[in-house]
Amino acid sequence: MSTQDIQRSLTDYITTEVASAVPDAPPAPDFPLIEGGLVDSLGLFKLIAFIEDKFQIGILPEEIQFENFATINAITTLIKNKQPLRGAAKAG
Amino acid sequence: MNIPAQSDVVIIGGGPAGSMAATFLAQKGYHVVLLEKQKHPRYMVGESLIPQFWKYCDLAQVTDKILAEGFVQKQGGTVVWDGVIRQTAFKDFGYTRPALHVERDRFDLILLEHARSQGAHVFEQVTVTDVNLDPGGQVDVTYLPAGEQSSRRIACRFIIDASGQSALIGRKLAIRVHDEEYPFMSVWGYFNNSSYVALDGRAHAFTELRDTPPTTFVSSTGNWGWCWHIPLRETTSVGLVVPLEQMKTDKLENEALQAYFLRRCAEIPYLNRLLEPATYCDGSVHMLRPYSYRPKQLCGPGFFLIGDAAAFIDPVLSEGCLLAMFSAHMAAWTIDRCLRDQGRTADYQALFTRQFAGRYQVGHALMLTGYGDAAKVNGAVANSLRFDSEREQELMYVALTMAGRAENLLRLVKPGDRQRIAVNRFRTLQSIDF
Repeated sequence: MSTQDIQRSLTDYITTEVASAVPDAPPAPDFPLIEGGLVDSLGLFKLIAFIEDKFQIGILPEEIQFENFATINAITTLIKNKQPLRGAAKAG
Repeated sequence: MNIPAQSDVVIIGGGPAGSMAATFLAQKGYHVVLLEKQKHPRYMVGESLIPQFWKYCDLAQVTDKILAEGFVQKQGGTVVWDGVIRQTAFKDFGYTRPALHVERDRFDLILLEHARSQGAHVFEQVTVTDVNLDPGGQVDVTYLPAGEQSSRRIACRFIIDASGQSALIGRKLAIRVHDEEYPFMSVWGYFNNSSYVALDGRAHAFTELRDTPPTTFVSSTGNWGWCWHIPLRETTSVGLVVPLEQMKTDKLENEALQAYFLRRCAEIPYLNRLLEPATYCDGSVHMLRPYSYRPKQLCGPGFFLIGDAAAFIDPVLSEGCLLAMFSAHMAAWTIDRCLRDQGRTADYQALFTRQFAGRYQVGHALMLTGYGDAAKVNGAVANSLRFDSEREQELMYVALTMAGRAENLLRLVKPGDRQRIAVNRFRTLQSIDF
């Protein structure tokens, strides 16, 4: 999946499913998601479940760091640096 | 009573932690059995809720039911710490929804009934007597319904221990340790017709409660001891958090608990004035000791600990119910992930531990008093703080400032964030007008 595709699906999901109030415009790739109030500690885990299922990767406990989820760019980098889970068959 | 012999998840205890976990799991489509020892409504202390709890209620879709109950809505806090009077308002942080003072028998009943309405199989007056945590095998729960002679079992994939201070699994596995950095105990009771402090800095008669919302009143009482004053719809909850060493001295006077409680209440400045028109509700005195504890382990093969069954820290920030709901949400999320991909159970349980431990270790570090060892505060645990919104961090800073421990929070956040958080959204009062 290309960087743009990943960014697009993250943006869509955050805008429609995670943000507590629907934002006026979709967040830019470098918008501070947590500090800007779009992703809180509840939204974060919804987002992690989505990322794991959609991209067939496993987020490790120690990867749940502020820096990895600060922006759509940061999450995209996290996703691109991971290998798909072995035996992953189902699409999310 | 038709309790199933098998379930995806068995939850022990129907307080806020257990009921919320049951709701979240039922909403995800799992078969959930919740076993509660008592019959709700039942008495419980811990009546002050700060506005952050609404986000869990929204997610559980129980907000409307709580609003419909008409609990006392509070506007902020009034804190007298070492003689300085400070007041803060939730609306100054941008909160549009009120914080509440709740009668816990009613609040907990609403959450339990909600879990039932969402499809959880809720059974009351059923005592869990044992759990079998055979690693590698199926886990099961042994229970005894009230009035019956023989116990029965439910087999399940996961057990959530939300048994509160009973801490069923914590005691069985001996993974519960008393927190020596909090040598406190608590004594509390209830009063009719107490005055209260509103946001105008004045004391108001109890009869004005509906028209002029109250604040939660807190005062230090020396040696990091403190007292609370929480107006409810019919009564006012008043409690003392007392250093154990002081209690030992006081005990030498061989005073009955009730007499001790009333004498101390009458000695505390401002609290005694608020209680002047009040009458004590006979027999309402309660005591809890020793006070705080922590777990060595938060989950294991087939089980999770949440709420007070896991850990209990000083309630000066009114975070008890919040921590219960946070851990309930986290356990439900983790179990859902484990059941979808069993191969990753160890990863997910490690994640649960890291998140929940981070959260209560932050709470613990923030609560540190002159008794605690501040050098032990671990910067790594502060990671979970960073996922809180700015508003939540600011409120925490102000609450801690008012309780004389703002330094604890500043020590945990990155230097660059300190100035951002340290916004003093409170005002200092010269006196409370009576």
